[in-house]
Amino acid sequence: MMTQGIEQIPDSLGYLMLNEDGAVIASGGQLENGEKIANKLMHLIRIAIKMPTSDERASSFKKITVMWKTFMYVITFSNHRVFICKRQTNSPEPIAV
Amino acid sequence: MGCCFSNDEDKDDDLNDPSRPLINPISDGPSSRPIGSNVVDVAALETQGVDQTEYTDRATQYSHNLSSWCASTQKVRGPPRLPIGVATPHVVLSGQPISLSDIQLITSAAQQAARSLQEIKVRHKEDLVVPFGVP
Repeated sequence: MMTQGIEQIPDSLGYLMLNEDGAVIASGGQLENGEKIANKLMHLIRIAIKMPTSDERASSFKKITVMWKTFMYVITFSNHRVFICKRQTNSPEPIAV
Repeated sequence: MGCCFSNDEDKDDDLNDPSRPLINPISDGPSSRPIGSNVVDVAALETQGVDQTEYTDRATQYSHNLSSWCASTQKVRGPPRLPIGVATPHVVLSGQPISLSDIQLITSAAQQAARSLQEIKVRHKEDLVVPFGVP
């Protein structure tokens, strides 16, 4: 399956699959044809992947979560693709400021 | 073909006249002005003959120089490569969201960093500009 099952994630509001250049390859739900949000998240990803997460150069993070009060974007990578899922935030009190 | 040159002798009295042509082809002949030294006449240049073997020799040499130069420099800068990532993206995406304590940790860290940035001040120690012999 091309989208590797990300359209079947429970409590998903939408998904995006991007290539390494940030072009939308597949999309659905609230993120259908969401090129604007894809560009914004790609900008964030390019900054994030420059940040070292440990002393080992090769090691990298697996997941980025961008949180809002009611939803979040969860981002991961696989096979030179970016997978983004917009999910509902279930916790009743997400951020205590 | 356009040409640009500047020479003190060219500062004619009618410089400010907007209707003055840039070059007067009749009066600004090559004999009356030193245009010849300032203009490269491409059409009149003799083409230097390069025979086939020299042409291929040069092409080989240039490509060799280019590849050795490229090898010695840093890799070509482009957008950063994506991390290797995970084998099953849908499992990672559908996993448990990050914990509340982690969110509070990063929120407070960001707030502290922002506060620290705001508190950066310049302390005056000595004059940056020192006057020399100003009456």
